[in-house]
Amino acid sequence: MRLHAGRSAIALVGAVVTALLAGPGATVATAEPTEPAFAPQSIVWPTPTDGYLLGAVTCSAAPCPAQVLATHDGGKNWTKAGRTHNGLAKSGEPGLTSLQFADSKFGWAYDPYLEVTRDGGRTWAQVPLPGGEAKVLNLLAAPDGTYLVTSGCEIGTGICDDRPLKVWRAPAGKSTGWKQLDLPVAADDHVAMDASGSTVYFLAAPFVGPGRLSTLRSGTVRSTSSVTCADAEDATITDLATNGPGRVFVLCMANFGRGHSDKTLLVSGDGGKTFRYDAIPGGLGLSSQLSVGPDGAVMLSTVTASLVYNRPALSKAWRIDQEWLENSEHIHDLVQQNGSTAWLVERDAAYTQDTQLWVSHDAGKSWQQTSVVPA
Amino acid sequence: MISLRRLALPLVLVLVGGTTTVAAAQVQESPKVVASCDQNVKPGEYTCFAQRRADLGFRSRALGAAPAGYGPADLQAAYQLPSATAGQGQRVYVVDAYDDPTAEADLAVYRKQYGLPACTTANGCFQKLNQDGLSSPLPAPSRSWSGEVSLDLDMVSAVCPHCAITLIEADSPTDDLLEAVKTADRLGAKFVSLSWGGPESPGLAELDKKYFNPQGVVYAASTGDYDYDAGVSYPASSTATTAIGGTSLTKDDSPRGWNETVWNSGPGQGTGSGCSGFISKPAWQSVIPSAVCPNSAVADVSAVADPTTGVAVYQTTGGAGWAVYGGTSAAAPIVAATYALAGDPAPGSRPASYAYGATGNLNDVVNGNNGECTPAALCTAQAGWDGPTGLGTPVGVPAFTSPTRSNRITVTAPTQEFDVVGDVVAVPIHATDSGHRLVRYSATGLPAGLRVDPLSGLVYGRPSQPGTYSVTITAIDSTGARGNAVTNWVVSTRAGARGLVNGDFESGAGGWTQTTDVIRQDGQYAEAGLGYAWLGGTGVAHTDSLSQRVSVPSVGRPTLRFALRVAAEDATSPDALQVTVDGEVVRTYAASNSASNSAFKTQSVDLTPYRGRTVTLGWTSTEDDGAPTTFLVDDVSLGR
Repeated sequence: MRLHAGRSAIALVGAVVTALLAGPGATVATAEPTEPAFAPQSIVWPTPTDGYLLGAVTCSAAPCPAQVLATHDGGKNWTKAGRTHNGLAKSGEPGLTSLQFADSKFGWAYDPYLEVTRDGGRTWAQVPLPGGEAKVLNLLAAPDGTYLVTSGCEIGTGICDDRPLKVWRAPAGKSTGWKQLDLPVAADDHVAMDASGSTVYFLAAPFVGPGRLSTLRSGTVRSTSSVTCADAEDATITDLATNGPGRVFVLCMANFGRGHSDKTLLVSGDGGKTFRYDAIPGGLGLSSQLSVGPDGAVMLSTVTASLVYNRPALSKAWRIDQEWLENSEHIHDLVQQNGSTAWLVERDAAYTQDTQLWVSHDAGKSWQQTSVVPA
Repeated sequence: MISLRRLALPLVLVLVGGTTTVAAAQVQESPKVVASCDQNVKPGEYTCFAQRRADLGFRSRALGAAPAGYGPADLQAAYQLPSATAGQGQRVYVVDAYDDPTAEADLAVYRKQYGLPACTTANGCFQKLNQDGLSSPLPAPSRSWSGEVSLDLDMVSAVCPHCAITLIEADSPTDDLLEAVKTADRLGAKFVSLSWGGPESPGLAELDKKYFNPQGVVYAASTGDYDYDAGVSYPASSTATTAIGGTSLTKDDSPRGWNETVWNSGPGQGTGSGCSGFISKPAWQSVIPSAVCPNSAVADVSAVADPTTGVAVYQTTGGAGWAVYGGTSAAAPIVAATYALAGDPAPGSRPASYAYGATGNLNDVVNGNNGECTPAALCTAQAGWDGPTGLGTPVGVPAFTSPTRSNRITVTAPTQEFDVVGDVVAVPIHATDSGHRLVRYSATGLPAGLRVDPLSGLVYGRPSQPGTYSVTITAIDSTGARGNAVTNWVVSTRAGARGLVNGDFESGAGGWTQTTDVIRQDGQYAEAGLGYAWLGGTGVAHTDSLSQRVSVPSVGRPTLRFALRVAAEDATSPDALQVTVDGEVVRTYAASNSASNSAFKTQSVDLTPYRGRTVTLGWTSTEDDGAPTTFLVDDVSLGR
């Protein structure tokens, strides 16, 4: 069975590699492991003060009931906001994996289902997928609307045929009025999206080979260009980010295998027409997610080796928190809350309830395991 | 992925009196080599034929210590080349796939090591273009193809140090390479090196017709590195190209001082050869009996390719200094540059045919093979033509000289041109034709808003887009004789042209001399626009520099102004930025200045002492190991 490249595939890789590499002696280096009261799965910061966390209380049922926590004071205090209709994924069963908010009120829980909230996560409504599609693969809650990538393959079937994926857009603040966009995405393409103001960058890429970067305004494709990784014959595009007008960052890895890869950050100031190629030193880990702060700070996570590569703002030098080296767990949902604080989630709810939340308060220099106890 | 070539125990086959016998089974292990590019290519794809000595690795060598492998003097001596005196005004085109971001810097190290004249963008010698003939955007970088690029540039330099070099980088090792070949012809190329190839397939005649100029252009194409059994490689099998095979070159006590045999490092490791399955035999190969090959036969000529007797190459992308390379990728640029030493190919001539009329001017390689085959000549060296080495290797340039004379066109254009967006431009380009004919001019890569008059050569108009452009002006006369010249054309914004060139860095790197990656165009830390200069910020012991030669006004109180932002993680570190005039320090900014310069702040330096002089303005950052200190410079101007 083929899996859709993207979150599912990365989660699978992470789980497999974790099983292969972690070994029985793997421990968390920075904190005593504790039984989590709340197992996090996805974290977002629509503003530096408003944060949301999708997770589950520990349970033995499948799927676990999902809960959304919220903070409106930058993370000092968290409260239970509400519950989604669908539970989290568990042990390979279908369930929610991801959370995104367009602002402090309007957000989505998704993949493979789709739910919406308009009141900061207090109440959730299930949203039928446009065009009778079967599942959500990716979503971007952009300021100008919501962008959705869907598949007609039934939930749990991976890639069932060669039909192209569909891309949809709903106006900002709406969960209806979806319109299909003229963006070709092959059944096994990997999709990454990000927005800067009203400009959305949409990147669809095969497993190996150049990606197609489309720039959209209000759902209309304004330009399309090709994105080619360094060492293109053995390279794959893993993520995309933007942090300002015209500034597009693409993460690639090449020559990957055995937990190692040659990682390259592509940096553009002209909306992806041209790129500078910044080689990232250190081969450990298969690159996964990319986060770029407004100040230019770059962080990227790996699906193996539990590493976060970090290039601080106003620095050309990369650094790695070596304390993570012994973990070898899948880490994901790497987000920068502000110039100094970043978050990520370790492990995946689809494979364990022992997911962990990590935070850095020094711009990625060091990471601490943390837990969120809702008031 | 880089693939490790297998080891083998070669049998040394010696041709005696026209028969092939096994003279000795030399139990001699070939050194480990790695092929730079993936060997497994499908029809329509191409691989490079560079092989690096893995047993020697990469070594950094100081000047004065000779790198391993043959250098320019060895190659010039082995092939009796007039490298010291010939090649002036010629330009050799190297076509490869992907970008080698350090190509020019690596070439500079190689040429400096061997005392060859500098070949840079700034002096108009070196030019790097994409497959459309433009300097931007360049394709994605590739560690594997960068080895090929370094090998090609170094071999052209070794053989023809007075030749200029244009590197054309195709987007991918597919028909994009052939597009790049076509672009070379459009630019007026006379000598093109093709160190790559792929398996033959039907339809090659159409490819020939579409991408190659069949007459008057030298295309030196490698025959491949995987011996006779691998089959014939295209475009070496094309009748438009000269197919270049590979030899093993060793010094000996013979009158020549060198000995050459077929390169054969073992099964699957040796020069390619054979008989095309698709391309008809050209007339000049009539010396090759139809019983041996009824179609186009490979190779035509040859040069050193054995990694065991390989050449020195300097490579930092995908490498770490000096290496020893072989493969028929070494032979192709050697022969392309030899043709350049010989002079212009006549417009109506077929350069591959030259050697067939001058066989006495080649080292006939008569020993060795690259496999077993029938007829033996396709894979076994013999007197006269044979597949592995063709007619032989160069003895000077007579075998590479056009038998008919052609007009020589010399195009004179400025090496550097500096203009401003919106200003009227009128730059005369002159061409002289030794045949005293009129020429027609064309240009590739001109800034938007400019055009060339095809009759007069005047480049005129108003440039509309800031940028740094590599412009090729080509002149062709009615006989088809061609010549060209390259101009590095910088169009500054009006704000960037206040007393110097591209002071706001919105035109790329044009006008400036910089250490690696100082000038950036991503807008992340620019004071305005996209361009800025970033010195330091590495957190290790490191020096960055930025400079421009300027004329200081002779009246008033000339003042250098620039915007500076300092960001230091450790304000007590000794990291500093020095502003210099002709090397003399006129201002120093320390890490401790970060508090007062956390945002861009305009700095002024009085240049009254330098009034009326042409000086070099410089910015040099020095960092120690420790917390990084960043110095951002933008909006540089020079006024009164």
